[in-house]
Amino acid sequence: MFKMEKFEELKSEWAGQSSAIIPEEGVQTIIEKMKKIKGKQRSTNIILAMTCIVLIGFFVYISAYQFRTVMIGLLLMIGALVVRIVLELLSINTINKLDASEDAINFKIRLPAPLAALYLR
Amino acid sequence: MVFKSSFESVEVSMKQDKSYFEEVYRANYQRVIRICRGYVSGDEDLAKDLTQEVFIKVWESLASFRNESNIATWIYRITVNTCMLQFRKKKFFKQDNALQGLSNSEEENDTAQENQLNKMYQCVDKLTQDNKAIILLELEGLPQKEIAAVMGISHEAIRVRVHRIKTSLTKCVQNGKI
Repeated sequence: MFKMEKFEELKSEWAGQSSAIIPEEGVQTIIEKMKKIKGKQRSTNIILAMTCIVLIGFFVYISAYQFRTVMIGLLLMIGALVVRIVLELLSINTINKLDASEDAINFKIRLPAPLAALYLR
Repeated sequence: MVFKSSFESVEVSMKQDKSYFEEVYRANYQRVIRICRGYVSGDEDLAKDLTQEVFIKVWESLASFRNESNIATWIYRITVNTCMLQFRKKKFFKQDNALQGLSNSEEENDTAQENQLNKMYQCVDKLTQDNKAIILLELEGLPQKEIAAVMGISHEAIRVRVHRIKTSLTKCVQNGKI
């Protein structure tokens, strides 16, 4: 009985903690941050895709397939870029599919292990 | 003309959404930041960052809110899920911070209420992720039926768990052990 009374005390102390000041420009900051994040994601993917295209163009231009070492080097660079682009797109897709308004148990079940955690803002 | 009017209607709807979001933001800011404080051992700056992350998710999902549940319950769900994820991301940073909080509270002689609140934060920090969410919602005064809806656990199970966590939290605040 004493413990429950004590918990009620804790609860009233919790309720009585100092109120935070609501940021005046809070909403605007959130909307701008969202735009910035989306823009950053888009520009990263555009830059990666363009680099990839330039490398493929260079590969064809110098006829890299005729030189074994050059071909391996260029293919490695292009391959790494393609993997990076695919990972970026997969992570964006994963984040977009996550519904943060689900109940906690279902949310945890749907959460793909390390990828989402890594790319969460 | 058609383009102009549809463009205007989109613009009006965006403005309405923004003003609705502003309303939601102001009405729920305090309860969200209190829950976030519970996740970061009372660190005000981290709690503010976390609150901003929560409202980013609210802004992203506002269009899909279907009035099936109370908006406060819906925001509590987003808060719990976002805090859980951010906890994973800032795991190590948070642990350092929690330890810093412990040493600060030992060194400083805060007022009795602040001390009690600090102890509470440290005890909440020792709980598992699910138990932490449950007790923070209980401290917020959310009815157990709604806590069950936020957590996705049956009402009966929540009732039992709340009782257990209340006992161990009270014991921890009194003795420093869970």
